[in-house]
Amino acid sequence: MRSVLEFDSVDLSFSGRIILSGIYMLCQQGEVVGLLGRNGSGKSSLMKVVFGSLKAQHKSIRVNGVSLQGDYLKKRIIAYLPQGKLIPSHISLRTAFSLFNVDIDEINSLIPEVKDLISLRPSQLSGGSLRLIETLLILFSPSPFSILDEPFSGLMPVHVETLKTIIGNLKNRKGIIISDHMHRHVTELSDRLYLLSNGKTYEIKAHDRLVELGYLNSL
Amino acid sequence: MTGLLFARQHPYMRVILIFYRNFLWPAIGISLFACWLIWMSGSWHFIAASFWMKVVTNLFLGLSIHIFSPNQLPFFNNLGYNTIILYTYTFLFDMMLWLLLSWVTIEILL
Repeated sequence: MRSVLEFDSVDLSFSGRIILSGIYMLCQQGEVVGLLGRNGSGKSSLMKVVFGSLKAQHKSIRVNGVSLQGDYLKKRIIAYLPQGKLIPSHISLRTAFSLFNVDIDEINSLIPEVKDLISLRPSQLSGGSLRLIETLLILFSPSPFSILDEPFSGLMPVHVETLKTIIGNLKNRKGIIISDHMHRHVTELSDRLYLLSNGKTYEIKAHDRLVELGYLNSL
Repeated sequence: MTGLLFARQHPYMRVILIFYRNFLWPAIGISLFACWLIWMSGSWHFIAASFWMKVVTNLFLGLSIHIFSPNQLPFFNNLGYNTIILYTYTFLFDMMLWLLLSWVTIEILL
């Protein structure tokens, strides 16, 4: 049976300003779900709320219909790539992979150059290489769902294409939610697409809706 | 040494040790300073004041990490540790180290 991650009724506001209200999203194992939105629309906040690191005034998050309550971080159902750096600067990449229970050999077989980087620390890598490694760390972790906030940020084109291929193949074993300002990559990868606007999610079935809702000027 | 090796192999302790490295030098420095104060006073009675000094300075250290380096928390959250548990375990670990150093100081002193 394929696991289903569903969330709705997410209400989040900061100092009286409503950030999220009336959210509904669904992600199944075996699909990539894209989340688009303008700067400051609340995409990162929504991802943190679903991951469990940011408290919302109200939220309902369910896996296979069972509500996730309290501190569900410890169940490690969802792995989350934040917008900023992930791996602490004082540990090696090998240590990070070991803590996340990620099989380095599997990654080496897909991207052989990772083998040369694995004993280094984050500060010894270029920004793009580090972003690629951090995204792989989240994608290959055993959690059934991965949430990626701007995984393509700073990646060179060849790595973007490699990562897209890996995400396309990996979705067979997990559900992936992805958000990035490189919307063409997101729309190409996504089996289901949502736009976050005015604190609400809109499922996008036809791309001209992105223009109607003010996300794009033209297709 | 064996204890330290065990701690590094144990998954929970390994994560706490990695997070503790953010505080390591100031926290150890303050513990050694507390031991020096006990040594200079020549009495174990100073240990209560030293305890409160550790509590207050640890609160400041935790607050400074939380304010100035919040970006590293998702790494530990991904490993199943919420922020409160992470800070609590790290605080307890540091207090145990301080207690050990204070005990050694008192043993030498007396």
